Amino acid sequence: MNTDNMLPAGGGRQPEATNRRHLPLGVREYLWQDARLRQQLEAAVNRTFRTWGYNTVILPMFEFGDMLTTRTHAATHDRLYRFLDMEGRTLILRPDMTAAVARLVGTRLAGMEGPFRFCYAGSVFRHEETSGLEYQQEFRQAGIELVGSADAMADAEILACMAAGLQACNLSDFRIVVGHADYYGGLLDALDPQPSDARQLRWAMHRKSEHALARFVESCRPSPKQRATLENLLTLQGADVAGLLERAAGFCLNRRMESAQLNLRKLTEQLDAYGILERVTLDLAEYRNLEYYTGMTFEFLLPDSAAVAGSGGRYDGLIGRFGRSRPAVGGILHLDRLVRAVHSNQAPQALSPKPPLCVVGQTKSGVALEAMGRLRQQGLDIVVHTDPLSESGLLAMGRNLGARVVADWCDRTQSFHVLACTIPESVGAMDVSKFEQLLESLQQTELSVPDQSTASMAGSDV
Amino acid sequence: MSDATCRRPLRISLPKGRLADDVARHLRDGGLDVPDFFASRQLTLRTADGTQEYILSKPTDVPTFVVHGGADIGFSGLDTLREEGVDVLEPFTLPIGICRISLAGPRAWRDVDLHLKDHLRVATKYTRIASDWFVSQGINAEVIKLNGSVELAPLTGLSDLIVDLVETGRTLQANGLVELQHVLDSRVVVIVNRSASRLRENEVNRFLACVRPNRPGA
Repeated sequence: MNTDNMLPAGGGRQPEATNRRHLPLGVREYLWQDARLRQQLEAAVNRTFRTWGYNTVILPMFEFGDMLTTRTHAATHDRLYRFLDMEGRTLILRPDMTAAVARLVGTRLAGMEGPFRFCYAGSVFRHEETSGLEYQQEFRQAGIELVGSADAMADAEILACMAAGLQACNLSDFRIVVGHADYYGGLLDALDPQPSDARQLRWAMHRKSEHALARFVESCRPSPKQRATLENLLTLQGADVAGLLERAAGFCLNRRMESAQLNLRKLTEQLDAYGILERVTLDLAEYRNLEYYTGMTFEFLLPDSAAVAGSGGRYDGLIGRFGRSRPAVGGILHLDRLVRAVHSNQAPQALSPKPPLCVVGQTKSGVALEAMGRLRQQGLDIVVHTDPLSESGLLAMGRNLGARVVADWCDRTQSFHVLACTIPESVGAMDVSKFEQLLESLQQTELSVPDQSTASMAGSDV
Repeated sequence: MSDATCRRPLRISLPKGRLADDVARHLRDGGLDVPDFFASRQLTLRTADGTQEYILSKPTDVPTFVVHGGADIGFSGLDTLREEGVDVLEPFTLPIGICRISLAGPRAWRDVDLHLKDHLRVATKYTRIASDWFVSQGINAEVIKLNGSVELAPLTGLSDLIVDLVETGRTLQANGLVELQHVLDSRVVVIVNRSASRLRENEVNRFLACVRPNRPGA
């Protein structure tokens, strides 16, 4: 055995043996079917959002650090990507879209009456310490924000619209976990714990740890009523929404907790009207970022996936930090995780480029190029080969690409010569208009029998 | 509600080794039909009614299986769970596998104020637990990873002190070491995958009810 080169297996196949990664951890790149899939999911989600009256907004990739960090991201400060501009001001790559929408609405739209409905899709960047689950730095999101309504009906609309977005991706088997910042916030008001005890309580709620909660109860010495609330806190979760809200009402310690419970009651009534209440799990012991969220919070879960597919909530305090204050609610879907969910519903697939409808040999003819331009305008995909090839070379190339038609242009007869076709009778010379008719008719059959004919040809002889 | 989204039986990850028998006995006491892994060479075994599937793995891998959803529920030592640092639910502990992780060293270190040492070297299998603990105590320490026979480190001059699992203290004594500080109390903890607790709420709750140590009638 050669011990001089102890590179791991596979390393030797690299053209330049190197043990450096080609890409940073936590970013994604997609090829072919995977890229098309993510694009299709993004398009389906956005189409859905627009049918609910949400307008696309395009947001900058980076902003001034002091604008966003001090106002919205104090808690996640050390997880942002920072760099400097020419004048030495700190810039950050956007860690989410919501803060950017809040800045936009708080400043440029301050003079306009709402409500506003915005949707967007794009990448956000964070060092994510997902505790062993997954390391991700670039997140592709599609999201919506409804600005200007404080009503629980707006919260319900966000959930229903995002649910419709998932359904448009054929991912109908989701669950929505709904919590409320004011239930936990009100509990904190009532108990007023020492900071270290509050940390213990947050940990207990986050890990659903009875042990940690008992330790908190021991150290904060609650009144009997407070003790009853704390001892039942971890049981205030589940899919029996009506029963849970009934019980939660009994454990309220102040107005803030009561209003949270009433708000959730109104929200769930509306979710029932939207027909998605059966997908909801309530969790009143859910702890989310209180700097950000002021009301209902939620997560979307998909089967067999440990990572959340989407999340969001109400953030009435955020826009006011930039200018004119307005209530708002919104949420995002993680497109990378939707891709994975679609994949987990299918058998693994070998990746390959999409076969074009037609491959044509190298040509300088204006007549031929014009004809192909007309066909492309109708949505037909045609590859014109850029290097000179023999007839057999062109045929092999067409087979490799999985094209359904391989043709060459003949300058002398000013006609196309079809060398191979899925309809064998069509092989031979034909003028421009017959060629266009042939491709159009092939495209029609492709539309009526999606992918089958192309798949069979792409698979043969490759 | 029915757990409509389940496509496979509830999967439970059990640790091999020193905790295996005690955990299995606890589950059987709770009325669960835990298959006998010793009678089989398989690593996954289903219950007779097909509602649960048990998988046997290295103790340090149990948290990994659970956090990624390879298993829905797991039984792990608290020491292993904290060392792996994964984000799972940990509803309750069991009175099994009780031990502690301690800072230990030669007797002479008993009177030393560790805060005043500027370069302390500590050998341990539990690098995360040790580092976190030193940070929380405000002590500067360099943590050296060892995979076994940690007691050797102070004897050979590899480190000043060790952070290690202590059950009876006899191993420490035999090597001329004493416990200096308590770092973590460990016992078996029941862990649950976050998503599974929502997506398979009913199954998970039924299972946990059988395992809960202060269950009625137990």
